[in-house]
Amino acid sequence: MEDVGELKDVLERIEAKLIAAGKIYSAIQFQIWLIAMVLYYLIIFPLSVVPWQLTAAYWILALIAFAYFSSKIWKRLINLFRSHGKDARSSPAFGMGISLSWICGSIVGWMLIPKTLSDLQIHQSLAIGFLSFISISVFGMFLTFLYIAKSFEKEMIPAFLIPAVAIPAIQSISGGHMVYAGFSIAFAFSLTVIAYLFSAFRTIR
Amino acid sequence: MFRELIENHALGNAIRLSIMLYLLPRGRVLFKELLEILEITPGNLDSHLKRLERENYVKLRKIIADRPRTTVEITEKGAEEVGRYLQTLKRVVERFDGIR
Repeated sequence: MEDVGELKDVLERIEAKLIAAGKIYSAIQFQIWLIAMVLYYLIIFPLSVVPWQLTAAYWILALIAFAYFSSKIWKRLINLFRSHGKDARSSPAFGMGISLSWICGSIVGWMLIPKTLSDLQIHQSLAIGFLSFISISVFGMFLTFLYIAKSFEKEMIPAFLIPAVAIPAIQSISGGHMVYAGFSIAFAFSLTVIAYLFSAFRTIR
Repeated sequence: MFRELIENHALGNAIRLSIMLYLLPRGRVLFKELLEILEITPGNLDSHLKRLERENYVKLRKIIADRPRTTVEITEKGAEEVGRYLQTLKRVVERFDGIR
């Protein structure tokens, strides 16, 4: 009967390691966004004028790279979810929920907000749009995890809460609105990465 | 419940189960890496992998890196089956633990 106890211990450790691997992959996804964002600022800082073509080309390439790495990570995550039995995270409804979150975030952040806040400076409304885009999209992902996958991803909270809290300060800033928005998101995502890594190590401790 | 464990001959072997558990979080690994981890002969590993490939739990591919290498990739079916196997094993252990 001691063997049964030992086997139970081994199975619990295997399960913990699989959960930890899932959390580390989630951290990597947020980290990829962070790298793309910080690299953009590193490229544009030495320039006196930032051509819109550069911004457009950079973000198109960044999105392609993000989609490539995300699909690789997602494939592994799905396998991990599948190993937990019939997990809702491998269902089409879950994938649709995630896509819908980013579509809603894009519509509100990049179309509706710049249009409705046309009385503000262009950079102010764009910064509010950027923060709203991230906040709504990540909040949508959080809700998808909560209601479809029945998983409370508390690590994601800083990633949508901090950009939302940063919005009111935009109007009182005299310049560098987009930099402020970018750094708010970088700070928020960094906290989420740390939270995921902390959860991963706590799971396997 | 027990039948499920006994009937899965592919995963009912410690080496094959170890291969699947190593692959699960990683997705794809090199044949060489598995050799080093499991400390078995190449022929032995090859026969276990062929068995898993027959069940469609893994895919073997030849790639050209610094030299020709073989990669081992877990399939959707493989991930599902190893998960199911672990869940069954867990239920069996819990039942035994209840009796203890």
